[in-house]
Amino acid sequence: MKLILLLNGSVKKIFQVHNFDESDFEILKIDEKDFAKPLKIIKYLKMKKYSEVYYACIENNLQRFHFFMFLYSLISLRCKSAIIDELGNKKNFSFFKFFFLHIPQFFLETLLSLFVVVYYKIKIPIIRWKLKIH
Amino acid sequence: MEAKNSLKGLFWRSDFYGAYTDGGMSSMHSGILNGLLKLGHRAVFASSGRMKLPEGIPFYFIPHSKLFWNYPEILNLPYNRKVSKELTKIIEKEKPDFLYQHHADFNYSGTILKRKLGLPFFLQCESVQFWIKEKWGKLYFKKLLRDIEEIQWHQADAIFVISEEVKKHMIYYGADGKKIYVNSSSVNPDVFRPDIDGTEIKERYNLVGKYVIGFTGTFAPWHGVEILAKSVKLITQRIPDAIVFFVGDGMLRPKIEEILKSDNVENKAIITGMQPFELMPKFIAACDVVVSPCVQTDNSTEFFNSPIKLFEYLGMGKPIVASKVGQQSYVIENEINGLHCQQKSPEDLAETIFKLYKDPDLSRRISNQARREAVEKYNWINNSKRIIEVYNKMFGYKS
Repeated sequence: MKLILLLNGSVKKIFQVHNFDESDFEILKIDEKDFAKPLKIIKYLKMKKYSEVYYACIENNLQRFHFFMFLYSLISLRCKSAIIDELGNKKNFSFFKFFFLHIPQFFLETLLSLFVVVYYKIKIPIIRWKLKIH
Repeated sequence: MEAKNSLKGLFWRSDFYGAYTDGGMSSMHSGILNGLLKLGHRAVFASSGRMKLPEGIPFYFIPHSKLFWNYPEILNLPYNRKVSKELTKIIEKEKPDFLYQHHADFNYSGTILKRKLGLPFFLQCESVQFWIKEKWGKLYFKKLLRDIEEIQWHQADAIFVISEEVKKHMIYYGADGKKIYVNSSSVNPDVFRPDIDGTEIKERYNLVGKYVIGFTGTFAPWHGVEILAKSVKLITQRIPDAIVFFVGDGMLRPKIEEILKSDNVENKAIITGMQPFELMPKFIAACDVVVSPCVQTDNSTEFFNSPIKLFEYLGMGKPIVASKVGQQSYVIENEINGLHCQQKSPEDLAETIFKLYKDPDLSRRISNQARREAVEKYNWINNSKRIIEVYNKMFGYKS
Protein backbone atom coordinates (compact mmCIF):
# COMPACT_ATOMS: atom_id res chain seq x y z
CA MET A 1 0.00 0.00 0.00
CA LYS A 2 1.16 3.51 -0.85
CA LEU A 3 0.16 6.78 0.81
CA ILE A 4 -0.68 10.15 -0.67
CA LEU A 5 -0.79 13.11 1.68
CA LEU A 6 -2.79 15.56 -0.37
CA LEU A 7 -1.96 19.18 0.39
CA ASN A 8 -3.91 20.77 -2.43
CA GLY A 9 -4.89 20.07 -6.01
CA SER A 10 -6.91 17.37 -7.67
CA VAL A 11 -6.24 13.70 -6.90
CA LYS A 12 -7.68 12.78 -10.27
CA LYS A 13 -5.19 14.96 -12.15
CA ILE A 14 -2.31 13.71 -10.02
CA PHE A 15 -3.16 10.04 -10.62
CA GLN A 16 -3.55 10.68 -14.31
CA VAL A 17 -0.35 12.58 -14.87
CA HIS A 18 1.80 10.17 -12.80
CA ASN A 19 0.12 7.03 -14.17
CA PHE A 20 -0.81 5.83 -10.70
CA ASP A 21 -3.32 3.08 -10.07
CA GLU A 22 -5.86 4.40 -7.53
CA SER A 23 -6.34 0.98 -5.93
CA ASP A 24 -2.71 0.96 -4.69
CA PHE A 25 -3.17 4.15 -2.72
CA GLU A 26 -4.55 5.47 0.49
CA ILE A 27 -5.26 9.22 0.31
CA LEU A 28 -5.21 11.52 3.30
CA LYS A 29 -6.05 15.20 3.06
CA ILE A 30 -3.75 17.45 5.05
CA ASP A 31 -3.31 21.18 5.41
CA GLU A 32 -0.09 23.19 5.18
CA LYS A 33 -0.65 24.16 8.81
CA ASP A 34 -0.32 20.50 9.79
CA PHE A 35 3.43 20.75 9.20
CA ALA A 36 3.54 22.64 12.49
CA LYS A 37 2.21 19.47 14.15
CA PRO A 38 4.97 16.88 13.62
CA LEU A 39 3.24 14.21 15.69
CA LYS A 40 0.15 14.35 13.52
CA ILE A 41 2.10 13.91 10.27
CA ILE A 42 4.33 11.20 11.70
CA LYS A 43 1.24 9.38 12.97
CA TYR A 44 -0.19 9.41 9.44
CA LEU A 45 3.08 8.18 7.96
CA LYS A 46 3.36 5.36 10.46
CA MET A 47 -0.29 4.34 10.35
CA LYS A 48 0.55 1.42 8.06
CA LYS A 49 3.65 -0.06 6.50
CA TYR A 50 3.48 2.08 3.39
CA SER A 51 5.89 1.11 0.65
CA GLU A 52 5.90 4.63 -0.81
CA VAL A 53 4.79 8.01 0.48
CA TYR A 54 3.86 11.00 -1.67
CA TYR A 55 3.10 14.60 -0.74
CA ALA A 56 0.84 15.89 -3.49
CA CYS A 57 0.16 19.47 -4.48
CA ILE A 58 -0.83 21.65 -7.43
CA GLU A 59 2.70 22.74 -8.27
CA ASN A 60 5.95 21.78 -6.56
CA ASN A 61 7.60 25.07 -7.45
CA LEU A 62 4.97 27.05 -5.56
CA GLN A 63 4.66 24.70 -2.58
CA ARG A 64 6.34 25.56 0.71
CA PHE A 65 7.76 23.29 3.44
CA HIS A 66 9.64 20.77 1.28
CA PHE A 67 12.22 20.50 4.07
CA PHE A 68 9.63 19.47 6.65
CA MET A 69 8.02 16.96 4.31
CA PHE A 70 11.32 15.16 3.86
CA LEU A 71 12.24 15.55 7.51
CA TYR A 72 9.02 13.82 8.64
CA SER A 73 9.53 11.08 6.06
CA LEU A 74 13.01 10.49 7.41
CA ILE A 75 11.91 10.47 11.07
CA SER A 76 9.16 7.97 10.35
CA LEU A 77 11.52 5.89 8.22
CA ARG A 78 9.47 6.30 5.08
CA CYS A 79 12.44 7.13 2.93
CA LYS A 80 10.86 6.11 -0.34
CA SER A 81 9.00 9.37 -0.56
CA ALA A 82 8.54 12.19 -3.03
CA ILE A 83 6.76 15.47 -3.57
CA ILE A 84 4.59 15.32 -6.67
CA ASP A 85 2.30 17.74 -8.45
CA GLU A 86 -0.48 18.07 -11.00
CA LEU A 87 2.03 19.01 -13.70
CA GLY A 88 3.86 15.70 -13.51
CA ASN A 89 6.84 17.00 -11.51
CA LYS A 90 8.38 14.68 -8.94
CA LYS A 91 11.00 15.55 -6.33
CA ASN A 92 12.37 12.38 -4.76
CA PHE A 93 13.80 12.14 -1.29
CA SER A 94 17.53 11.52 -1.35
CA PHE A 95 19.71 10.97 1.73
CA PHE A 96 22.63 12.67 0.09
CA LYS A 97 20.69 15.77 -0.93
CA PHE A 98 18.87 15.96 2.39
CA PHE A 99 22.00 15.88 4.53
CA PHE A 100 24.33 17.85 2.30
CA LEU A 101 21.94 20.32 0.69
CA HIS A 102 18.60 20.68 2.46
CA ILE A 103 19.85 20.65 6.06
CA PRO A 104 22.59 23.26 5.43
CA GLN A 105 20.06 25.34 3.46
CA PHE A 106 17.63 25.15 6.36
CA PHE A 107 20.31 26.31 8.82
CA LEU A 108 21.16 29.18 6.51
CA GLU A 109 17.47 30.07 6.27
CA THR A 110 17.18 30.02 10.08
CA LEU A 111 20.22 32.21 10.49
CA LEU A 112 19.09 34.71 7.87
CA SER A 113 15.60 34.75 9.36
CA LEU A 114 17.03 35.73 12.72
CA PHE A 115 18.93 38.53 11.07
CA VAL A 116 15.81 39.68 9.17
CA VAL A 117 13.70 39.74 12.35
CA VAL A 118 16.30 41.76 14.27
CA TYR A 119 16.66 44.18 11.34
CA TYR A 120 12.90 44.79 11.08
CA LYS A 121 12.46 44.96 14.87
CA ILE A 122 14.72 48.00 14.69
CA LYS A 123 13.51 49.39 11.36
CA ILE A 124 9.75 49.33 11.93
CA PRO A 125 9.75 51.43 15.14
CA ILE A 126 11.93 53.97 13.30
CA ILE A 127 9.40 54.15 10.45
CA ARG A 128 6.60 54.58 12.97
CA TRP A 129 8.53 57.33 14.71
CA LYS A 130 9.18 59.10 11.39
CA LEU A 131 5.50 58.85 10.48
CA LYS A 132 4.49 60.00 13.97
CA ILE A 133 2.35 56.93 14.64
CA HIS A 134 1.77 56.53 18.34
CA MET B 1 -14.87 52.29 -24.47
CA GLU B 2 -12.67 54.54 -22.36
CA ALA B 3 -14.48 56.71 -19.80
CA LYS B 4 -14.25 60.50 -19.93
CA ASN B 5 -12.14 60.57 -16.78
CA SER B 6 -10.50 57.22 -17.37
CA LEU B 7 -8.33 56.07 -14.50
CA LYS B 8 -5.71 53.35 -14.37
CA GLY B 9 -5.25 51.36 -11.20
CA LEU B 10 -2.31 49.20 -10.22
CA PHE B 11 -3.75 46.30 -8.26
CA TRP B 12 -1.32 44.53 -6.01
CA ARG B 13 -1.84 41.20 -4.24
CA SER B 14 1.00 40.46 -1.86
CA ASP B 15 -0.06 37.45 0.22
CA PHE B 16 1.57 34.09 -0.35
CA TYR B 17 -1.04 31.78 -1.86
CA GLY B 18 1.07 29.18 -3.60
CA ALA B 19 -0.37 27.71 -6.77
CA TYR B 20 -4.03 28.47 -6.01
CA THR B 21 -5.75 30.39 -8.76
CA ASP B 22 -9.35 29.93 -7.61
CA GLY B 23 -11.13 31.01 -4.47
CA GLY B 24 -12.74 34.03 -2.91
CA MET B 25 -9.83 36.43 -3.41
CA SER B 26 -9.54 35.62 -7.10
CA SER B 27 -13.30 36.09 -7.59
CA MET B 28 -13.14 39.43 -5.86
CA HIS B 29 -10.19 40.71 -7.87
CA SER B 30 -11.69 39.50 -11.15
CA GLY B 31 -15.03 41.06 -10.24
CA ILE B 32 -13.58 44.47 -9.42
CA LEU B 33 -11.29 44.46 -12.46
CA ASN B 34 -14.13 43.45 -14.79
CA GLY B 35 -16.20 46.23 -13.29
CA LEU B 36 -13.46 48.79 -13.93
CA LEU B 37 -13.12 47.69 -17.54
CA LYS B 38 -16.88 47.90 -18.04
CA LEU B 39 -16.86 51.41 -16.63
CA GLY B 40 -14.18 52.41 -19.15
CA HIS B 41 -11.22 52.45 -16.75
CA ARG B 42 -7.99 50.49 -16.98
CA ALA B 43 -6.02 48.28 -14.65
CA VAL B 44 -2.72 46.51 -14.24
CA PHE B 45 -2.25 43.59 -11.88
CA ALA B 46 0.84 42.54 -9.96
CA SER B 47 0.87 39.53 -7.70
CA SER B 48 3.01 37.11 -5.74
CA GLY B 49 1.26 34.21 -7.47
CA ARG B 50 -0.59 33.39 -10.64
CA MET B 51 -4.02 34.86 -11.23
CA LYS B 52 -6.95 34.26 -13.53
CA LEU B 53 -7.70 37.75 -14.76
CA PRO B 54 -10.10 39.27 -17.25
CA GLU B 55 -8.65 39.66 -20.72
CA GLY B 56 -6.69 42.79 -21.47
CA ILE B 57 -5.21 43.29 -17.99
CA PRO B 58 -1.40 43.32 -18.03
CA PHE B 59 -0.04 40.98 -15.36
CA TYR B 60 3.26 41.07 -13.47
CA PHE B 61 4.39 38.12 -11.38
CA ILE B 62 6.68 38.98 -8.46
CA PRO B 63 7.46 35.72 -6.60
CA HIS B 64 8.62 35.52 -2.99
CA SER B 65 12.25 34.55 -2.44
CA LYS B 66 12.52 30.78 -1.91
CA LEU B 67 15.07 31.38 0.79
CA PHE B 68 12.43 31.94 3.49
CA TRP B 69 9.78 29.39 2.51
CA ASN B 70 9.99 27.44 5.73
CA TYR B 71 9.28 30.49 7.91
CA PRO B 72 5.94 31.95 6.80
CA GLU B 73 6.08 34.95 9.13
CA ILE B 74 9.50 36.00 7.89
CA LEU B 75 8.71 35.53 4.21
CA ASN B 76 7.05 38.91 3.68
CA LEU B 77 9.61 41.04 5.49
CA PRO B 78 12.44 40.89 2.93
CA TYR B 79 9.77 40.71 0.22
CA ASN B 80 8.87 44.34 1.00
CA ARG B 81 12.21 45.44 -0.35
CA LYS B 82 12.10 43.28 -3.48
CA VAL B 83 8.57 44.21 -4.33
CA SER B 84 9.06 47.93 -3.85
CA LYS B 85 11.83 47.85 -6.42
CA GLU B 86 9.79 45.79 -8.88
CA LEU B 87 6.63 47.83 -8.40
CA THR B 88 8.58 51.06 -8.90
CA LYS B 89 9.63 49.80 -12.34
CA ILE B 90 6.04 48.77 -13.12
CA ILE B 91 4.73 52.15 -12.00
CA GLU B 92 7.29 53.96 -14.19
CA LYS B 93 6.22 51.86 -17.16
CA GLU B 94 2.45 51.73 -16.65
CA LYS B 95 1.92 55.14 -15.03
CA PRO B 96 -1.11 54.19 -12.92
CA ASP B 97 -3.25 56.79 -11.15
CA PHE B 98 -3.43 54.83 -7.92
CA LEU B 99 -2.12 51.76 -6.15
CA TYR B 100 -4.68 49.34 -4.73
CA GLN B 101 -3.02 46.90 -2.35
CA HIS B 102 -4.68 43.85 -0.92
CA HIS B 103 -3.26 43.83 2.58
CA ALA B 104 -1.18 40.85 3.68
CA ASP B 105 0.81 39.98 6.79
CA PHE B 106 4.02 41.92 7.34
CA ASN B 107 3.68 43.71 4.02
CA TYR B 108 3.95 47.50 3.89
CA SER B 109 5.01 47.95 0.29
CA GLY B 110 2.05 50.29 -0.34
CA THR B 111 3.42 52.63 2.30
CA ILE B 112 6.93 52.49 0.83
CA LEU B 113 5.63 53.34 -2.64
CA LYS B 114 3.41 56.12 -1.41
CA ARG B 115 6.33 57.73 0.44
CA LYS B 116 8.70 57.23 -2.47
CA LEU B 117 6.49 58.13 -5.44
CA GLY B 118 3.55 60.00 -3.94
CA LEU B 119 1.11 57.65 -5.63
CA PRO B 120 -2.41 57.60 -4.11
CA PHE B 121 -2.59 54.46 -2.02
CA PHE B 122 -5.75 52.45 -1.42
CA LEU B 123 -5.66 49.49 0.90
CA GLN B 124 -8.07 46.60 0.97
CA CYS B 125 -8.48 44.73 4.27
CA GLU B 126 -10.46 41.57 4.90
CA SER B 127 -9.78 41.65 8.61
CA VAL B 128 -7.47 42.80 11.35
CA GLN B 129 -4.58 40.49 10.50
CA PHE B 130 -2.80 40.35 13.83
CA TRP B 131 -6.10 39.55 15.56
CA ILE B 132 -6.86 36.75 13.10
CA LYS B 133 -3.38 35.25 13.34
CA GLU B 134 -3.35 35.38 17.10
CA LYS B 135 -6.83 33.92 17.54
CA TRP B 136 -6.99 31.41 14.71
CA GLY B 137 -3.43 30.62 13.81
CA LYS B 138 0.03 30.81 15.23
CA LEU B 139 1.77 34.13 15.62
CA TYR B 140 5.30 34.56 16.91
CA PHE B 141 5.86 38.23 16.05
CA LYS B 142 2.62 39.89 17.09
CA LYS B 143 4.13 43.30 17.88
CA LEU B 144 5.88 43.46 14.53
CA LEU B 145 2.75 42.43 12.63
CA ARG B 146 0.59 44.92 14.53
CA ASP B 147 3.08 47.75 14.01
CA ILE B 148 3.25 47.09 10.27
CA GLU B 149 -0.52 46.86 10.00
CA GLU B 150 -0.89 50.19 11.78
CA ILE B 151 1.65 51.78 9.41
CA GLN B 152 -0.42 50.61 6.44
CA TRP B 153 -3.68 51.89 7.98
CA HIS B 154 -2.06 55.22 8.76
CA GLN B 155 -0.55 55.72 5.33
CA ALA B 156 -3.41 54.50 3.15
CA ASP B 157 -5.43 57.32 1.62
CA ALA B 158 -8.51 55.13 1.77
CA ILE B 159 -9.22 51.70 3.18
CA PHE B 160 -11.79 49.38 1.65
CA VAL B 161 -13.20 46.68 3.90
CA ILE B 162 -15.61 43.84 3.23
CA SER B 163 -18.12 44.50 6.00
CA GLU B 164 -19.34 46.98 8.60
CA GLU B 165 -18.07 44.54 11.19
CA VAL B 166 -14.49 44.70 9.88
CA LYS B 167 -14.74 48.50 9.89
CA LYS B 168 -15.82 48.49 13.56
CA HIS B 169 -13.05 46.05 14.41
CA MET B 170 -10.40 48.19 12.72
CA ILE B 171 -11.64 51.36 14.40
CA TYR B 172 -11.46 49.54 17.74
CA TYR B 173 -7.80 48.81 17.04
CA GLY B 174 -7.01 52.39 16.11
CA ALA B 175 -7.73 52.83 12.38
CA ASP B 176 -9.26 56.14 11.29
CA GLY B 177 -12.93 55.40 10.59
CA LYS B 178 -13.25 58.45 8.31
CA LYS B 179 -11.18 56.82 5.60
CA ILE B 180 -12.72 53.36 5.80
CA TYR B 181 -15.26 52.44 3.12
CA VAL B 182 -17.32 49.26 3.13
CA ASN B 183 -17.17 47.40 -0.16
CA SER B 184 -18.76 44.04 0.56
CA SER B 185 -18.32 40.93 -1.56
CA SER B 186 -20.51 40.84 -4.64
CA VAL B 187 -21.18 38.75 -7.70
CA ASN B 188 -20.90 38.94 -11.45
CA PRO B 189 -24.57 38.40 -12.41
CA ASP B 190 -23.60 37.63 -16.01
CA VAL B 191 -21.60 34.61 -14.82
CA PHE B 192 -23.85 33.48 -11.96
CA ARG B 193 -27.31 33.49 -13.51
CA PRO B 194 -30.44 31.38 -13.12
CA ASP B 195 -30.56 30.03 -16.69
CA ILE B 196 -27.35 28.00 -16.25
CA ASP B 197 -27.96 24.28 -16.68
CA GLY B 198 -26.81 21.97 -13.91
CA THR B 199 -27.81 18.71 -15.64
CA GLU B 200 -24.23 17.72 -16.43
CA ILE B 201 -23.29 17.97 -12.75
CA LYS B 202 -26.48 16.20 -11.66
CA GLU B 203 -25.68 13.31 -13.95
CA ARG B 204 -22.02 13.18 -12.98
CA TYR B 205 -22.81 12.92 -9.27
CA ASN B 206 -26.03 10.85 -9.54
CA LEU B 207 -28.21 13.67 -8.30
CA VAL B 208 -31.03 13.30 -10.81
CA GLY B 209 -34.38 13.00 -9.02
CA LYS B 210 -32.88 13.97 -5.66
CA TYR B 211 -33.56 17.04 -3.54
CA VAL B 212 -30.09 18.59 -3.54
CA ILE B 213 -28.93 20.79 -0.68
CA GLY B 214 -25.73 22.50 -1.74
CA PHE B 215 -22.82 24.16 0.02
CA THR B 216 -19.90 25.69 -1.85
CA GLY B 217 -16.65 26.91 -0.38
CA THR B 218 -13.70 26.12 1.79
CA PHE B 219 -14.10 23.80 4.75
CA ALA B 220 -12.85 26.34 7.27
CA PRO B 221 -14.31 26.76 10.79
CA TRP B 222 -16.24 29.99 10.18
CA HIS B 223 -18.09 28.52 7.17
CA GLY B 224 -20.12 26.36 9.54
CA VAL B 225 -19.59 23.28 7.41
CA GLU B 226 -19.56 21.06 10.53
CA ILE B 227 -23.07 22.27 11.38
CA LEU B 228 -24.19 21.27 7.91
CA ALA B 229 -22.56 17.84 8.32
CA LYS B 230 -24.38 17.36 11.65
CA SER B 231 -27.67 18.32 10.01
CA VAL B 232 -27.43 15.67 7.25
CA LYS B 233 -28.98 13.00 9.47
CA LEU B 234 -31.85 15.30 10.51
CA ILE B 235 -32.50 16.48 6.96
CA THR B 236 -32.58 13.02 5.46
CA GLN B 237 -34.88 11.73 8.20
CA ARG B 238 -37.47 14.28 7.05
CA ILE B 239 -36.67 14.39 3.32
CA PRO B 240 -35.76 10.83 2.33
CA ASP B 241 -34.63 11.71 -1.20
CA ALA B 242 -32.40 14.55 -0.01
CA ILE B 243 -28.70 14.61 -0.62
CA VAL B 244 -26.25 17.11 0.82
CA PHE B 245 -23.75 18.27 -1.74
CA PHE B 246 -20.50 19.65 -0.30
CA VAL B 247 -18.71 21.42 -3.15
CA GLY B 248 -15.27 22.21 -1.82
CA ASP B 249 -12.49 21.04 0.40
CA GLY B 250 -10.31 22.21 3.23
CA MET B 251 -8.82 21.56 6.62
CA LEU B 252 -12.09 20.36 8.17
CA ARG B 253 -12.66 17.63 5.61
CA PRO B 254 -11.49 14.77 7.87
CA LYS B 255 -13.84 16.02 10.59
CA ILE B 256 -16.77 16.27 8.17
CA GLU B 257 -16.13 12.72 6.97
CA GLU B 258 -15.98 11.55 10.58
CA ILE B 259 -19.34 13.17 11.41
CA LEU B 260 -20.99 11.65 8.33
CA LYS B 261 -19.56 8.25 9.22
CA SER B 262 -20.59 8.34 12.87
CA ASP B 263 -24.14 9.44 11.90
CA ASN B 264 -24.22 6.66 9.32
CA VAL B 265 -25.18 9.04 6.51
CA GLU B 266 -22.14 8.73 4.26
CA ASN B 267 -24.43 7.73 1.38
CA LYS B 268 -26.56 10.84 1.91
CA ALA B 269 -23.75 13.29 1.28
CA ILE B 270 -21.22 13.93 -1.47
CA ILE B 271 -17.94 15.79 -1.06
CA THR B 272 -16.62 16.88 -4.43
CA GLY B 273 -13.23 18.29 -3.44
CA MET B 274 -11.98 21.61 -4.83
CA GLN B 275 -13.58 22.57 -8.12
CA PRO B 276 -12.51 25.18 -10.65
CA PHE B 277 -14.22 28.53 -10.29
CA GLU B 278 -15.51 28.32 -13.88
CA LEU B 279 -17.66 25.31 -12.94
CA MET B 280 -19.16 26.88 -9.82
CA PRO B 281 -22.30 28.23 -11.56
CA LYS B 282 -23.05 24.73 -12.86
CA PHE B 283 -22.53 23.21 -9.42
CA ILE B 284 -24.90 25.72 -7.84
CA ALA B 285 -27.37 25.20 -10.68
CA ALA B 286 -27.49 21.50 -9.76
CA CYS B 287 -28.85 22.36 -6.28
CA ASP B 288 -32.45 22.84 -5.19
CA VAL B 289 -31.52 24.85 -2.14
CA VAL B 290 -28.18 26.36 -1.10
CA VAL B 291 -26.90 27.02 2.37
CA SER B 292 -24.45 29.36 4.06
CA PRO B 293 -24.40 28.17 7.68
CA CYS B 294 -21.56 30.51 8.79
CA VAL B 295 -20.78 30.69 12.48
CA GLN B 296 -19.17 33.16 14.81
CA THR B 297 -16.07 31.35 16.00
CA ASP B 298 -14.95 33.82 18.62
CA ASN B 299 -17.10 35.60 21.20
CA SER B 300 -14.78 38.59 21.45
CA THR B 301 -15.82 39.97 18.08
CA GLU B 302 -18.77 39.92 15.72
CA PHE B 303 -18.75 37.67 12.65
CA PHE B 304 -16.99 39.97 10.19
CA ASN B 305 -16.62 37.99 6.97
CA SER B 306 -18.40 38.64 3.72
CA PRO B 307 -18.92 35.16 2.26
CA ILE B 308 -18.68 35.36 -1.52
CA LYS B 309 -20.75 32.20 -1.84
CA LEU B 310 -23.78 34.06 -0.45
CA PHE B 311 -23.64 36.55 -3.33
CA GLU B 312 -23.06 33.82 -5.89
CA TYR B 313 -26.17 32.07 -4.56
CA LEU B 314 -28.12 35.34 -4.92
CA GLY B 315 -26.89 35.70 -8.50
CA MET B 316 -27.99 32.17 -9.34
CA GLY B 317 -31.48 32.92 -8.02
CA LYS B 318 -31.52 29.91 -5.72
CA PRO B 319 -33.48 29.59 -2.49
CA ILE B 320 -30.96 30.37 0.24
CA VAL B 321 -30.77 29.32 3.87
CA ALA B 322 -28.25 31.44 5.75
CA SER B 323 -27.41 31.62 9.42
CA LYS B 324 -28.32 34.92 11.05
CA VAL B 325 -24.85 36.14 11.72
CA GLY B 326 -22.83 39.27 10.78
CA GLN B 327 -23.38 40.55 7.25
CA GLN B 328 -25.63 37.59 6.42
CA SER B 329 -28.19 38.90 8.91
CA TYR B 330 -28.85 42.01 6.82
CA VAL B 331 -27.96 40.92 3.27
CA ILE B 332 -30.50 38.14 3.68
CA GLU B 333 -33.93 39.37 4.70
CA ASN B 334 -36.00 36.57 6.09
CA GLU B 335 -38.63 35.31 3.65
CA ILE B 336 -37.79 38.16 1.23
CA ASN B 337 -34.60 36.99 -0.51
CA GLY B 338 -33.75 33.95 1.61
CA LEU B 339 -34.40 32.29 4.93
CA HIS B 340 -32.55 32.73 8.17
CA CYS B 341 -31.62 29.97 10.55
CA GLN B 342 -29.94 30.13 13.93
CA GLN B 343 -26.19 29.80 13.78
CA LYS B 344 -24.60 26.68 15.28
CA SER B 345 -27.90 24.81 15.26
CA PRO B 346 -28.06 21.74 12.99
CA GLU B 347 -31.69 21.29 14.11
CA ASP B 348 -32.76 24.75 13.00
CA LEU B 349 -30.82 24.43 9.75
CA ALA B 350 -32.60 21.16 8.97
CA GLU B 351 -35.97 22.62 9.98
CA THR B 352 -35.49 25.67 7.71
CA ILE B 353 -34.49 23.51 4.75
CA PHE B 354 -37.60 21.40 5.39
CA LYS B 355 -39.72 24.56 5.37
CA LEU B 356 -38.45 25.36 1.87
CA TYR B 357 -38.96 21.79 0.72
CA LYS B 358 -42.62 21.93 1.76
CA ASP B 359 -43.28 25.35 0.27
CA PRO B 360 -42.24 25.64 -3.41
CA ASP B 361 -44.05 28.99 -3.69
CA LEU B 362 -41.88 30.48 -0.98
CA SER B 363 -38.81 29.05 -2.69
CA ARG B 364 -39.77 30.65 -5.99
CA ARG B 365 -40.58 34.02 -4.43
CA ILE B 366 -37.32 34.36 -2.50
CA SER B 367 -35.30 33.11 -5.47
CA ASN B 368 -36.69 35.80 -7.77
CA GLN B 369 -35.97 38.51 -5.24
CA ALA B 370 -32.46 37.13 -4.65
CA ARG B 371 -31.63 37.41 -8.33
CA ARG B 372 -33.08 40.94 -8.53
CA GLU B 373 -30.87 42.08 -5.65
CA ALA B 374 -27.78 40.45 -7.12
CA VAL B 375 -28.22 42.41 -10.34
CA GLU B 376 -29.11 45.73 -8.73
CA LYS B 377 -27.31 45.82 -5.39
CA TYR B 378 -24.62 43.17 -5.17
CA ASN B 379 -22.97 43.49 -8.53
CA TRP B 380 -19.13 43.79 -8.62
CA ILE B 381 -19.50 46.80 -10.88
CA ASN B 382 -20.82 48.73 -7.86
CA ASN B 383 -17.59 47.91 -5.98
CA SER B 384 -15.54 49.29 -8.86
CA LYS B 385 -17.72 52.42 -8.94
CA ARG B 386 -17.14 52.99 -5.22
CA ILE B 387 -13.36 52.84 -5.70
CA ILE B 388 -13.51 55.38 -8.53
CA GLU B 389 -15.88 57.63 -6.56
CA VAL B 390 -13.49 57.63 -3.61
CA TYR B 391 -10.60 58.49 -5.93
CA ASN B 392 -12.55 61.34 -7.52
CA LYS B 393 -13.67 62.64 -4.14
CA MET B 394 -10.15 62.63 -2.74
CA PHE B 395 -8.03 63.58 -5.72
CA GLY B 396 -10.51 65.31 -8.03
CA TYR B 397 -11.43 64.40 -11.58
CA LYS B 398 -8.54 63.70 -13.89
CA SER B 399 -8.28 66.31 -16.60
